[in-house]
Amino acid sequence: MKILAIVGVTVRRLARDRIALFFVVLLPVVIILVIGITFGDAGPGRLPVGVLDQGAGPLGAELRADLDRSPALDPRAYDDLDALRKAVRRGVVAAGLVLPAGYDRALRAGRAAEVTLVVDQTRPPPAEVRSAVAAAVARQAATVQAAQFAAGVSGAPFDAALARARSSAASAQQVRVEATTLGGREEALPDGFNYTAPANLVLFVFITSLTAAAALIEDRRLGVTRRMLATPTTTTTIVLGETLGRFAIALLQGLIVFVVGWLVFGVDWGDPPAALLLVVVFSLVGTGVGVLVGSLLRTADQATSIGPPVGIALGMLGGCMWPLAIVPEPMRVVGHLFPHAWAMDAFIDLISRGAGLAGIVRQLAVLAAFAAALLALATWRLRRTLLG
Amino acid sequence: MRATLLIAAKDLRQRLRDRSGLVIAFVAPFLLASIIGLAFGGDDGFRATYAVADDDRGPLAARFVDGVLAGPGLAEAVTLRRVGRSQARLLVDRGEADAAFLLPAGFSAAVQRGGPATITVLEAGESPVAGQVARSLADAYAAQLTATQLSVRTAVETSGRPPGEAQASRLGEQAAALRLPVQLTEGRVGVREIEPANYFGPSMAIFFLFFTVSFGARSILTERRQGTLGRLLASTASPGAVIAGKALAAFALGTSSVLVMWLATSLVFGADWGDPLAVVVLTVTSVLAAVGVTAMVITLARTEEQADGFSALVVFTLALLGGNFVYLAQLPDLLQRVSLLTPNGWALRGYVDLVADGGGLGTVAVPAAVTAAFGLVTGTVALIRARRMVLA
Repeated sequence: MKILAIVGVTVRRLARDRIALFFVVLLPVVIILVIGITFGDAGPGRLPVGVLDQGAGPLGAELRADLDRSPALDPRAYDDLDALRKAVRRGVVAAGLVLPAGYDRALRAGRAAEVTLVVDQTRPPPAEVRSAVAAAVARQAATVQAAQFAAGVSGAPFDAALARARSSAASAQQVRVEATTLGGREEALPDGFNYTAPANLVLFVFITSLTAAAALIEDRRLGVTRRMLATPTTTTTIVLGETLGRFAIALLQGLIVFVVGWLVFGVDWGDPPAALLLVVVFSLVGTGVGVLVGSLLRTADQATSIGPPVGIALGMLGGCMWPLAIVPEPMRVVGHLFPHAWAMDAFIDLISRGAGLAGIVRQLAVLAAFAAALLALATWRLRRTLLG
Repeated sequence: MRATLLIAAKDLRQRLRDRSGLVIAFVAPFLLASIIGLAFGGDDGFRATYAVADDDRGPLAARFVDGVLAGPGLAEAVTLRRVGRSQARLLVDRGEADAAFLLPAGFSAAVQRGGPATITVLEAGESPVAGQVARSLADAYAAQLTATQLSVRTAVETSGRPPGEAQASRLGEQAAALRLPVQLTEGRVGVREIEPANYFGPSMAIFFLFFTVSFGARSILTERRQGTLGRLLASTASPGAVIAGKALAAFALGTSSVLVMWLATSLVFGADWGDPLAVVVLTVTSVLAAVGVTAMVITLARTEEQADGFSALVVFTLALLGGNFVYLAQLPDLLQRVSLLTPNGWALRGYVDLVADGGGLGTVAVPAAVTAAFGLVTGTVALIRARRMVLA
């Protein structure tokens, strides 16, 4: 009973702290919303692409018109290279296309020409943008090549050959590419909210556990634990109560994101009981870290200020900020030294690959091992701190 | 003046003795910038294993397999496994190949006849990047073949009479030797290339700057609670000197955290942030803005807990809106414009412009002026409130 009283106090203290509540409830939701929209399934419709026509002539205009028809792109005109580059750099447009002066003249004269796609290597545009632009360029290149070739062979004027090539292109059977991701789209990574919701669940359970360690330190500093020890309460009871209290907070944070993700963002958690078990096990990992940090650090300030950066760093390593599938192999290996990566792997298996409990047993076992090791270390440390 | 310096030195010593201050100011930003840099800037380049099943055994399939996939351009990056159709699918299924290309029987003949033909690409869900590369390789080759078909057909139609068999095959050979006249090349976003260390260094430094400098205003609340504020004022130090001392300490730590990041990314990753004078000026104005904004927010609080909450709230909101984490191109126009209202958005802009466009003070003139203005306005509000807090 005393254990439950300690747990109750922990949770009540959190519930009265309106600012803490804001961070536990509102911040994850806002972040899921903003990031979820940006990584959504092809985003909100067409992506903006800057187009700079440096005097490319009629064929340049034709290419621009083709881009305008693309269902993936929202072309916007720019007048100078500097402005276009800045727009790409600032993310105002996803990429910029430069149509050079003399484009039309070169092609009509039977020569080759180059168009340039300006992209920011540090934040590359979505694949749809690149392939939509490449497809439009390839379509024009094919008709121009055909016109150049036919004009050369038959001696007909270029414009007549081009008109002929256009009408042939409209009716031609093409060489097509059929791409499938094996196992259907389910094999791929989850998109939109289906990725950001679990990612932020993992991220925030960890960060909240780290910062909640501050309360544990406050308890010691204010003498709350000392007074508890003065009552007929054993050290074991206090250690258990404090640990369970941290667990309640971690689990609460996990459940909030779980429920909000499900009800508000329509996240399909795959196999809900298995996902909930995963939340519980990861909350235990968070509990272990929280209690350990709470017994190691000396001031509450240290915990609140170290929590966010450490939590963000581990989140980055573990695939909460971007999927580990896109980073180089060594970074993937390093990521799996921390619990985040295992939890994310399990969530991806559940959400995207239709795995059930049996499919994530390995990840659950690894997380349980993390939790057991951390909790053992943490409770031992806390007991010593309380007695010392 | 002496009192101001003494108070500043005392605050700095206190902050650095608490190791979390060191972590926030110096360790965490560098660590995060390194992680992002390693995650996205892996110098080892692109590597993939592709399987290819050639059931066609004709010249056009061979040209794709030997000329493109096993060609000199990809030899370094791509390991190619020539296998049967079912084996190819199996390799992708098992994750032993990142993607597989299936060239069906009769592919070459169909293309040469001018009929439809299909290259199938199977991608492994686990390797999205290698899968995209595979698809674009196939797309490029298909575009080339389509252009060849179209060329032959247009040539025949333009000449107006059906060609003989020998002539048709000669046209086909000539057309197949053509190279698409329009090539799409990739261009840089500035005069110089932006490398991850040049971008994420400043980006993370700015993000943490706001956490780093918040201790300045917060310590007024702490000293008031501990009763040391009263004792400071009982000495010869004026309220103005106390506030100036605290602002100076925050400014000094903030500036050095950005400058250390500059030094560290330059030494460790060979980053080049651009003209040193411009970096220093922009850093000073950005730190002013950070000190001003956090102080203004914190002086609205009554307790330290409230102060922590308010400032973390504002810092996270600014980071989200300023573009430190989010890819702005996919946000609605309104939100993109909102990033212009954030000092960190402007600071980031300045640093990136300096890397990309080169140049000196002129390049950062606008971002520096805007961040300085942010600093002055918020700093003035903070000063008025802080004075009231100190005197209360």
